Amino acid sequence: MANNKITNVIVSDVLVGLFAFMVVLHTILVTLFGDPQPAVTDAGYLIREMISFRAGFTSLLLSVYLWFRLTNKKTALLLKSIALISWVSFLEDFMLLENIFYMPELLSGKLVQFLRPIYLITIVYMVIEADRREKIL
Amino acid sequence: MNDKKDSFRGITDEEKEALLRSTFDPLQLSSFSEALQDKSSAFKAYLVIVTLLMVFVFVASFAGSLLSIPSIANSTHPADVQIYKLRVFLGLLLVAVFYTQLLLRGEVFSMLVSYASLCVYLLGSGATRLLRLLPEPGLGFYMYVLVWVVAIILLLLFAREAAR
Repeated sequence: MANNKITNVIVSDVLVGLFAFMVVLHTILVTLFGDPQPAVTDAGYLIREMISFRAGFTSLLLSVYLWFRLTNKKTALLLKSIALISWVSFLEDFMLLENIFYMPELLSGKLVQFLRPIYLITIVYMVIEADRREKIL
Repeated sequence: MNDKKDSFRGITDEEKEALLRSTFDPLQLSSFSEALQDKSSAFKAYLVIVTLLMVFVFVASFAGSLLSIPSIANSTHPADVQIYKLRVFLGLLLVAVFYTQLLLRGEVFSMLVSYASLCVYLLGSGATRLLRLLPEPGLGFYMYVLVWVVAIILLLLFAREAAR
């Protein structure tokens, strides 16, 4: 049972890390090679302006998480913050920003779009698990 | 001497039954006075200030006040106005969740810290957008940043008080 929990936590860490890596990679690719899809709507322009900030913010938060994990600090509070920000930014994209990452011409965009719901569920699981673990300790 | 009385704990069978019947329901909302009875006066003061600020934001956003949404959002672009409206709605939802947690007498410290970090994200994304939008950062930009910084500091002070 305990081994299963540890495996789940490791798998969750890998999934979250993969998502963060893909977000950063996708942002770098778009910045380097330009956007293959020109923005045609007002929301489109807003997306292009926010994408770098979001990538920077995501990687900053997950770097702090990584540091917390490496130094064996409590992570529940940090994960709650990351989960809240992730869900709010997802709702902004879903309801207004026409799926910020989706670019059919770029494989990285497709991968980020595919990984996003998995990441959102995983981060909630990690919050619950970290909270439970820290309450026991 | 009552023969029903527990010789070790000194309670009757009726009292035992009453204790077992009144089990704590974690989904039962308490009243405000019950929820705040063990809180410090500073906690109550922060709660009042945050509530008044939220009421002001919602009144300004929804009641057609002198402060129109484009002037608060610092932009007339439809996407900016829409994202502002969505953020106000999410803010309302988060405040409702906070009050529910408070009335459930749950732990609010981590919730307040999470809200503060969300405010950092909102400040960052809004400021980035404004820096691109405005020809040069003026009073509107500095006011925008100042309001968010005050909100973040207030939430962190509130969280510190909640942890005590």
